[in-house]
Amino acid sequence: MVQINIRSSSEAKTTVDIDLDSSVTDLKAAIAAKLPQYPADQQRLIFSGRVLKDEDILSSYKIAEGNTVHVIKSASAPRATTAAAPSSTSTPTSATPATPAPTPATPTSGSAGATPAAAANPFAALLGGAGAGASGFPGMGGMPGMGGMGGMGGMPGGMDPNAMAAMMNNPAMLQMMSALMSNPQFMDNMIASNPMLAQVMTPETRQMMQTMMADPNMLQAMLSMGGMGGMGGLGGLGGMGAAPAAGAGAGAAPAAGGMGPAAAINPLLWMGGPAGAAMAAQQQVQPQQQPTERYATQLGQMAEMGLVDPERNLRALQLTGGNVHAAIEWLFNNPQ
Amino acid sequence: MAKVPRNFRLLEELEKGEKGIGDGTISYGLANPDDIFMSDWNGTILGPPHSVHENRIYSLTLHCDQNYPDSAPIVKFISKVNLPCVHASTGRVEPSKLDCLARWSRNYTMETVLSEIRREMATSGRKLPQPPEGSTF
Repeated sequence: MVQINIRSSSEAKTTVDIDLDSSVTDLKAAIAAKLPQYPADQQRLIFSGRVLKDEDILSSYKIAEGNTVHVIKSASAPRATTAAAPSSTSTPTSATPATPAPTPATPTSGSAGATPAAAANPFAALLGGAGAGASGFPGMGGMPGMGGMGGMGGMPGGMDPNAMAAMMNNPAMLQMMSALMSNPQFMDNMIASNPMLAQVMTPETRQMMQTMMADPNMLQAMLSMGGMGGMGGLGGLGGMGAAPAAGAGAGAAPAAGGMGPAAAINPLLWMGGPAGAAMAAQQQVQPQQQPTERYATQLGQMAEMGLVDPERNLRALQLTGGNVHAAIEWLFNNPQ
Repeated sequence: MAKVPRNFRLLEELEKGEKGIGDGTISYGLANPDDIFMSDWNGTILGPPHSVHENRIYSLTLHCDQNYPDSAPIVKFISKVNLPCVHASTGRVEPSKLDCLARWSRNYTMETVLSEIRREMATSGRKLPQPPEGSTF
């Protein structure tokens, strides 16, 4: 029995105790037991410059105590789908979320809480919720929508900018959103399911939100701002909490393009949940940062990946709210 | 500064390879652990994300002759790959076309070579059409 270290590309690390006369298949099963995100049939194992073959015995690779085996998820892994997506097929705008899906997410993008698919396509879930909400029974029906929104908070830039644009130009979608948001009961549900939101929800802000949401033009303006800066949008929670009055002021002038004010009147993006709120707080501290500073880390990562045009990188990051994965997808989908 | 003799240097590299480098995007180890001259090595490169190589695992061999590390290792791809620095029919990484081999320094290691090749995959070879996965030279 020896102990070997297992390392994965998504930072997860573990150790496995195994006999050296076990097969690679046995090792894969042992790894799957420790790292449930790596099912045995999706693992590829690398040790000392070799890919381990299932039928081989570990000792044939001279694996020894304390050695490290790398585990990589195979490309043929079936992708997770959002639970809420099917309900969107019953809505008249079901074509919207069907816009080109982003290219396959890398194994590292599997953030906790939001599956890659959910994060990449929050509008499927949103539409599901919206459909149910608009039918006049916003109670539990609204909940799938909230799930989608959670995904949005976890990965605000995960949405395809094209899908966003398509949605903004879709009158049916706007109408539905408007109907949904102007329904006081949906708002109550939304607030009740999100304690962070409840804290900032005074009677004044609620009134303001409903007025805004009932106006399709306003909604469209807000959606377009969401597309321009998901990250900035999340600043909204902090903005509202700090100064509801200021938010109301900004609400009167939705075209004021600054990230901060734009975010403050963007209730759509409030639904990001606690993760979003944490980012919002951060955003609120330095709303005037230059884009190059704000996205310095992401720009560095992209440069390392060999994307050598800083201006395009920056533009992609701005469009996707600082999400590197979404930015890269955008770059690939929009060649020069 | 004293020169590290070939054997000590290769033992260091062997140990590092067995411990695993970083997140496993590159890996290497002795082809035959009984080889007391430590000449022949295997390497793998995990294709960089957001390139045509994403999710592919490339196998290579590295040969460190008696002059290593004063002279560069001879590197060959086993898995077929289409890269400017790799000979299209033999799989040999052409030293003149890979900067770290062309200007070899004894401070470089097999890890240097593998990560430089991986960098090529993410840059000059990012969009090149690739032979089917699993085919070999």
